[in-house]
Amino acid sequence: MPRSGEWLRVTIDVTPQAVEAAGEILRVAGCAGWESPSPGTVAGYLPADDRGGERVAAIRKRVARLREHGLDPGPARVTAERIAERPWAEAWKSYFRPMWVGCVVICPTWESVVPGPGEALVRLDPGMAFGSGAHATTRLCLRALQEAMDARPRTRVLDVGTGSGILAISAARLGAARVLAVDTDPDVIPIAAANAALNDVSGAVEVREGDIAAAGGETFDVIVANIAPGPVIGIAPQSRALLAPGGAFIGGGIPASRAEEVRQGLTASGLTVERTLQEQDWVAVVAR
Amino acid sequence: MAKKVTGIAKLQIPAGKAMPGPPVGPSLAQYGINIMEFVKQYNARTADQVGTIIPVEITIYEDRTFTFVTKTPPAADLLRKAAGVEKGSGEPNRKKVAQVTQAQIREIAQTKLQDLNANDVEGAAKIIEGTARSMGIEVLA
Repeated sequence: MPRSGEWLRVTIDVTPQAVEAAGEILRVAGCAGWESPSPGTVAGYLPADDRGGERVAAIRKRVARLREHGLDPGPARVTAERIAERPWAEAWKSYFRPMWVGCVVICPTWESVVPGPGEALVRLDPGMAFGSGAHATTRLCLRALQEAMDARPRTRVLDVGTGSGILAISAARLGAARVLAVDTDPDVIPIAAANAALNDVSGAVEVREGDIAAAGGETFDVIVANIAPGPVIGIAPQSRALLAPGGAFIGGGIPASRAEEVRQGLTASGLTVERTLQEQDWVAVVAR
Repeated sequence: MAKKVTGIAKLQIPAGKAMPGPPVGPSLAQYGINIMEFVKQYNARTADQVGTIIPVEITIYEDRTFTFVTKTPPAADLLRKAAGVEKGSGEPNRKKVAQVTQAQIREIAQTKLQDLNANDVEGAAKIIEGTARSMGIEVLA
């Protein structure tokens, strides 16, 4: 961290063929890395100390000479602006607050909430897997999931495309007897498992890599798939086969403009569409 | 999942040693993502390449979650390795620090072809040659 608490953001505008050389010029000047905001531009940061001006002048000189090395530097423009040191790593926290969806409270780990009677607390830090609760489609599926579970005690739940595990964990916190969470992305499997552990539901939630076929021949009372229109329609026949009599299928990740297409697809697979929930431009379709 | 992309950030940062300061912090703060989580995951994934710069492309989704992919090291890193030098020249026009062969240039061009703005290996090789000369590395004919 510079003593002055300020940085110089140095931007070099050249052509795409000269950016590799421009990045190296920033590195030599002392930048601990750089950004590539567009194909012909790199931007790095230097401490805004006594030597800042001198360093920028040296960068300018080297950029101006790129042509002599057989590279087209295009505009060959070097600009520097002062920016204040900020707690960048903390900035994201202002976007996440405890959130109530029905009787589920989604709460980031740095906040504390005492759940009210009948409320289920789900602790979750948004990270590298989809499903932070900040998207309408996740909230829609969560609402539909609660309604479907209310009607059936000792619920067995299958979550297809679990991502962060938010829906599977919510189901377990709401008292599901068994939750199987599957995802085709191997990267999210350990994340979903870690989130389940964070919420003390590792025993109830099993995470498996794969698509709906990974569920084998098990029977479920509720199947929730917060994915996308095509995949939701695609798994409808298998979902119907895995559902217990009267069980509910919840399809999410569907833009409102494609709701009708999904309803028709589910109907064609032998499911009976019961209702469509909407929030902003997104819908979740519930079928049996 | 309903993954709607809201942003893509491209960074070139030291493998295994990324920190939340610049350029990572100011570049990613605007997207409202968990920067420490990115730093941790990036450093874990690039731990065996410490000493090189590893470019990374971060995709940010509508609910402020993200994923990232790493790319091949910058041409300058590959050139330094091929030439066997720790750093390039501060005065590339006057002071040459090393030499590379045409075969080495072509090999780097091949490695970097997908990341460079070039139509073919010939075009990529021209970019690599220019980059080499701009670092004070001579290209043998």
